[in-house]
Amino acid sequence: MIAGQMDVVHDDTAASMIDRISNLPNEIIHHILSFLDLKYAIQTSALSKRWKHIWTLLPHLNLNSRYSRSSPKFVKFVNDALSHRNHGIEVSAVELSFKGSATQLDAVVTSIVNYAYSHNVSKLTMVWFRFNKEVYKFRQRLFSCQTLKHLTLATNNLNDSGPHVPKSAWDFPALETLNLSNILFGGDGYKSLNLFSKCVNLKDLTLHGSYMWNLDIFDVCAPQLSKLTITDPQSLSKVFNVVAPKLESLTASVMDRFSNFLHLSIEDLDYLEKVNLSMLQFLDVGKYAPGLLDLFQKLCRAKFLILDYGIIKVLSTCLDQFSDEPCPFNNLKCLKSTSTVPIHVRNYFLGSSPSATFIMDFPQVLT
Amino acid sequence: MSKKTLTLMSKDKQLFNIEEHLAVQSVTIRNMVKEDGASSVIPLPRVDSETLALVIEYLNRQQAPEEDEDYVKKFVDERGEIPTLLELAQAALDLDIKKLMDAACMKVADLIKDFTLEEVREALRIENDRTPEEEKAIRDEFQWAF
Repeated sequence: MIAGQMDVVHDDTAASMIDRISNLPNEIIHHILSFLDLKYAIQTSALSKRWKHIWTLLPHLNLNSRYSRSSPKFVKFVNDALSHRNHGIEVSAVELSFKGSATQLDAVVTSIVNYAYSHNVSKLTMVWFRFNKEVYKFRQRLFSCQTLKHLTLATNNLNDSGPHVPKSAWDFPALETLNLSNILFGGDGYKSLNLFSKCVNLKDLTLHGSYMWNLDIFDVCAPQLSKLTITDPQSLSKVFNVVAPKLESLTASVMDRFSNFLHLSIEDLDYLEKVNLSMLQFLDVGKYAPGLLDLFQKLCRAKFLILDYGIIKVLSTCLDQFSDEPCPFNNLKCLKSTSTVPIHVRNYFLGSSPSATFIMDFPQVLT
Repeated sequence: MSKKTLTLMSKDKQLFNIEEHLAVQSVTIRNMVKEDGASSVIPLPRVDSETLALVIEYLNRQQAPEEDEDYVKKFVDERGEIPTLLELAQAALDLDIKKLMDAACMKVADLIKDFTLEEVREALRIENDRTPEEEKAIRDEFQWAF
């Protein structure tokens, strides 16, 4: 381990073991501690003299309120920990998991953002477990950071609600991955939002359980975006406008919980490879055929298509509404489905893409 | 077409052959190959033969990319003894194999996360070089975390 160290005598294996392991390099210790809660990491300061300051150098901070007796205690813990940390060491990642009221959340988020943003953080994850639908507005300060590359903001799903976020363009020039779960977009009379236009490096955007409150237009304008995922929307905007010339992969649940269909406005999809569509099942499937056909036409460049049971159901029930024209997908290599694809639906796709292969991806059944 | 083979030598002078295109998953080896072609034996003075055998097994895996994550996890799970995992982490650090390093350290973290301090000392073979009074002083200093 250390240059010039003497060879350890062979039969002294126990001693050699101590020698090797107690000298674990800091990189390995940091790496192990990066997977543990910060509270635990701080407690390792009692292990030995060498360990006293190890936690103060950690670039990766995991903060979880479940290890504190109350949320005010947790707020204090976070402030103490940040103030005792070695301020010369940059913060690479912060992961917060917080259960409690909006007021306490605000205190914790404010401390973390102030500290992490002045220590060149690149990855920030905040998960909030709410007890009720109390209104919380994330502060503007959170949405402006020059170094942040990966951001996750998530809360638990309480129907028809979610924390508010600012309505002017978010200032994240370095951001590559953005994950938003159960967030409320809009409100205060806003009819349209264009939040990501300054995220010039955004590559991967996931909007899960979004609540788009009375929005006419939700814009996703991101020049580098290659992957867009819209899952399980609580409520969709009237128009979902995507300007993403480099988009390669789109995953979408095409209907919100009020049975509004995804109305996508999108063009210039020269790089589109993979499309994955799914929808909740409703009785009146015929109603959704025009919306689905519209989506097919807009996404017709896709080579790989994944459709779930709900979509196949619309197709198989209302194929007459589709088959006036050839299937828009004329470049399909593979169609994957989580249910059986009836022969007439299969022929509809093969009509435009004769060489496409079909894969049925059932849950496995033991024979 | 014969594939180019490299020879790695462990701390205890055992030799291991591995195909070059697999070996270069290690950034350290990749850089050596780039610099001088690494035609001769590559010595790994901090990695013992048992650990190197494991590393070679890992590098030789033939997993589809989408299954790789699961494989790596299973690979460390099956070698769940802390000393082995720390040796693996050390080797992965020296050889710069990020996935293996991550998996080994994550497994150690998972194993020690419910340990008492005394159990951590035992598991990581850390000698407590403080008197009980000194240890208490540390606990008092960071009492907000205990």
